[in-house]
Amino acid sequence: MRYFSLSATRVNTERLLTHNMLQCHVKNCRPNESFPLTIKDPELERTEAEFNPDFMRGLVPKLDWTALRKTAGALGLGDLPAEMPEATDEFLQMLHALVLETRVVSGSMVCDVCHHVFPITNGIPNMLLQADEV
Amino acid sequence: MIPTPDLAALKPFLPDVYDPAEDTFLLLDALEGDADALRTRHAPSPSPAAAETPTPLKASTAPLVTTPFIVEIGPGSGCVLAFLAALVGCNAVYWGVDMNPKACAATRAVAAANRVRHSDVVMGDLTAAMAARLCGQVDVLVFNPPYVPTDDEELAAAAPAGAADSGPVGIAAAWAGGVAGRVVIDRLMPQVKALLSPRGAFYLVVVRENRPDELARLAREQWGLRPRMLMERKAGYEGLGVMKFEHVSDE
Ligand SMILES: [Zn+2]
Repeated sequence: MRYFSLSATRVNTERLLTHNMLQCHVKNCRPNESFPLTIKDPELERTEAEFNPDFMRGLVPKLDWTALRKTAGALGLGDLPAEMPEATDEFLQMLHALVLETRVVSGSMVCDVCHHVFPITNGIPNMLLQADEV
Repeated sequence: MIPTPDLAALKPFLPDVYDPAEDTFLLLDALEGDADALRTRHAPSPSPAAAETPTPLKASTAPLVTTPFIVEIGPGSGCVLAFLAALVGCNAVYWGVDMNPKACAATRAVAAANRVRHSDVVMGDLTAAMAARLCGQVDVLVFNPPYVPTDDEELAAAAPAGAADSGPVGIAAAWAGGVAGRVVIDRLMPQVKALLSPRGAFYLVVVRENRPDELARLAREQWGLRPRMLMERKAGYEGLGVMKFEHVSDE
């Protein structure tokens, strides 16, 4: 195996897959209630990634569908059905585009319960808290 | 042999991030030595192209194996994350979580330079922001912690847990480990069992001063994990080791 250096590669910025994994963890907040974090002022980017149906099928059970549906709706990326549809090729392609190819370059994620703001800068979400918030 | 990842992309970030050293290379060797376990247990189902007869997509067909989630805490340079991707393959999702913003940027740059397909970086303290959603879903967890025994002043200067208000977290957070170098390790260990998937494994770099025997005993008695010393090496004055922790099997 041979590796090549960086110039032609693009950076990895926060995918909606990662957003689907992040929760508010401020002390005494109710993370289940505030999940998913609301994305504010997003600069979105779509980057192409190779589609692998097996990879996507294996990813489906690890996603929180309700949270993904809410986020996709809020970002105007489409109305997903309330129940996760059957894993047809077409559905997996849609999901691939949504969770792996859609990235948040900048903006913030806001907790709807405690209103904490987690900034996203250069595609990296900042989940660190102040000492008195832990 | 898997080559050491291309670290040319790391140069602009030095000396603000941890430059791979003996402990890093021991971890790479230990992971490579455990390659069979990593590959066979964490490989996704074969792609249709690889199968003798392509399997049509069936809605009712449950996946043979879920897509592996691989998480490195404190990736620093991103060297280990990129190495794991070469070892396990690109059909897994990789996350690096680091408190140091420069380490986050470095990890992203090195992962990109090494063509890690599905990797994201999160700036955070251990897995705090992801723990609930990652519960029972992490197939490989890796941590080369700040293990050097330090006094309280040095540890405070390293701005540990949640101290975002004390300014940006710097390079000291990469090594300052407090009493017996165990402060950060002992904060993570009780959460490991909950994070690991049924087939999951946790790889931890330790030094002699961390008291690996005591860690092994605590793993069995308190943290509900089966410990194993995977590899040991002496590097100068440091007695380094890589421990592996898994669920206690019923067999
Ligand atoms: Zn909150």
